[in-house]
Amino acid sequence: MPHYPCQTCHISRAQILRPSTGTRLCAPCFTLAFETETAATITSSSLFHPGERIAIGASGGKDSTVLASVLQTLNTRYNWGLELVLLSIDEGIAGYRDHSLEAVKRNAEVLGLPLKILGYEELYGWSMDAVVAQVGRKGNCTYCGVFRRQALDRGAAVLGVRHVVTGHNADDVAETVVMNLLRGDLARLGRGTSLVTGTGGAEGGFASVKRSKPLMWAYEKEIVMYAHHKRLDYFSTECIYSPEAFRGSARTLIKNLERIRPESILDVVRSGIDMARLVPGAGGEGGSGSLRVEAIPRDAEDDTGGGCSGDNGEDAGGEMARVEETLRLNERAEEEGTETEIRLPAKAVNGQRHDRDGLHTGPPAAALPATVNGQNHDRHTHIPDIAVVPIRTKQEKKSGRKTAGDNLPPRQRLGQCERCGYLSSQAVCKACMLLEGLNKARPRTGIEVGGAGG
Amino acid sequence: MSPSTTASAGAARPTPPPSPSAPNLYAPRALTNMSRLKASSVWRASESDMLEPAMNGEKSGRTGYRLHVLYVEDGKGDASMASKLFELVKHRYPEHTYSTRPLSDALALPGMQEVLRPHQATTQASTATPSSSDLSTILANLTSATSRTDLHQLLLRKLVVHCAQTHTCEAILWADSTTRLAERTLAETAKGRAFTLPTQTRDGETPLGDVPSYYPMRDLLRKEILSYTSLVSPDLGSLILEEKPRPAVSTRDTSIDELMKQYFSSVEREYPSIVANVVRTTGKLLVERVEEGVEGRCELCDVVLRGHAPERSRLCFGCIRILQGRETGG
Repeated sequence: MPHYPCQTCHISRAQILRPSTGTRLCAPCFTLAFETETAATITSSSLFHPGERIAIGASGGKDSTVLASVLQTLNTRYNWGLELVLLSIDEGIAGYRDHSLEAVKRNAEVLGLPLKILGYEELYGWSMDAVVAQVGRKGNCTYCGVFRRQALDRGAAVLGVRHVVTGHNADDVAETVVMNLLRGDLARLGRGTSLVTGTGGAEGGFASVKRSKPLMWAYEKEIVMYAHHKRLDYFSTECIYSPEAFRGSARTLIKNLERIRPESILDVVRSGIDMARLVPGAGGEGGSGSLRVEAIPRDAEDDTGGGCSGDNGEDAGGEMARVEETLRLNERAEEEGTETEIRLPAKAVNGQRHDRDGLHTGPPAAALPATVNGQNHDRHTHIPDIAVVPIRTKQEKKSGRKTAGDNLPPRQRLGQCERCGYLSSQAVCKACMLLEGLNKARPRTGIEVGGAGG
Repeated sequence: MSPSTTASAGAARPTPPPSPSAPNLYAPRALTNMSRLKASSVWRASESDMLEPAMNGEKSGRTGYRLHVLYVEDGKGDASMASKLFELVKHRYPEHTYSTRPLSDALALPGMQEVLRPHQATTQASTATPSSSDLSTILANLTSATSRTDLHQLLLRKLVVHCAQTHTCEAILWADSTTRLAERTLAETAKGRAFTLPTQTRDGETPLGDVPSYYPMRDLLRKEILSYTSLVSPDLGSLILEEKPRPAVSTRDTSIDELMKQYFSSVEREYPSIVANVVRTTGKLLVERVEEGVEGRCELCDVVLRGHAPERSRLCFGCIRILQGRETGG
């Protein structure tokens, strides 16, 4: 194999062929380039302010380990004065987190960062093992995913931190884009690619914690390379309860794409950002600039899974089949004209359906030939309406939106959960609903079955 | 942007073409593409339903429109077989007008020489009409299968639109199925051009010129169309160029388009509604707002450059990818 000199320093021997740029670099030049690019993502969007307290969502996996290392390096190098804290969530699955939490502890020591480990047990009163014992293996991923989304925010609130960073990389974001296209989830398509999401909840509560992903432009491969060359200590494990479906399908596709054309990962991310601007009601219509730096409202349904390699916390097994089933039912309902009754009432109904199924089929598209004229006409006259919708700031509610027709996807109206204050499209957020279900079945008196020592 | 994306071409077009006769509808075909070939016949079954509203004021008979069928010879695959089938189609449906153009004609369109052959353009500027070998050279110099497919499709589209304009057609009918549109949706997403999807996969106007495009088979799956061809009588099978399954080659030689095709053929089998849903989802996206005449457009694919190209570039990111590495790649 021929030896190439590093294309940056021209001295050392190149060790790395960067997938993102196709350049050959030596290890020190690569790590520097990787750090500089992450710094550019952070500074160009003014992600942090000096002295800000930042919690790093640490799972012990490669992404969050690299993120912690890079942030610590940059913080020192550029004198950002950030106060970094590692925050780990323990789902309470026996054996699952043990090794990764050990890795996090070692990292905290090496990096000299404070570490806080919070368990589902402390946050919700239910460890995942307890949930599984109660609901069985089927459907337990829903609990885990819903709990996890809030867990980082709740944990951050415990630490008094207003901003959590996660290790999502470009591959993750690209996967999310493809997944949301497959699921037809416009609302999430509009959010999944934003650098920063905020819950927009009441100031001071855990629902107002900002979330961002500084590594969203970094290739998974480069993260692995960075971890390797910096000799970082990480642990990777697959959740024992999590099967793969939708995300798995998208992941395979992205990996194949990368093999064909490595740049396409970033192209998918860029496409996702472009599409996010074109989602009706996203507030960015006709806006310029490709980097969204304002905090996009996120809700309980957002893809913020950290550590779970399976689908976004939903019960991934058979999700594709379930979506298929829902779509087919929706289509039939449209054809038979039975759907109108469901669609006409309040938006909340739409929102709920959306929540539940992750899908909304929208207008009648699979029109029968007999009615194709009328339906087509109906469908297309909406488009000019949409096209002239004025730019709205995201705070504005969609009060006059009814005129634009039901062609628009249901936009979740985000309020706050009346129990915990977390942002939710329902009166009571999903976590509280699930908890209510769990707690109902739990005996009020502390009788233990099987008497583990007591 | 242009708000007049609408199904009824006749009613919505602000300036009707100067054609004094019955409007010409343009039916482009590339015989190498199976789904496109089937198109001509499928239109016959439902064409009056679909097209009548477009023909306001022309209701003087069952068909108030004329079809002009275009066959673009692209030199790919079994060209002689494709030409033979085209003759059969002509014979079976003699009432339409037919014409044939080589894909290399697209190179003669304005600006193409400068973009695709910058060196020749200055020396022997438009002396001869570009030949098929010129096109093969250009395609062969691209570094990847994806770039070749991409450029091929771009040129095909441009040529079809150009032909539609020269024949003063009022609309272009494409034979893309839902499956094909879904493939394109993900392929364009992977090429960084997702922002063009609303205009590329929706019925109505396109950024390529003032002839609107329609996809009459947009709600049909590929497998449904295939079944149809064998169920109608007379059978359409004899008119269809059979697509030979490609031998499994290394992923590196596959194009993004081919990957998406494989992907959706498996999704279509198990989850057909998901295929349709992909197309419907992008159909709900807004069309990017464009200030006509003010904004620069990509010299190759005609998309608006703002936000989609490096500064002062004449090409968008997607087209830069097509042409990148061309000089060194050989």
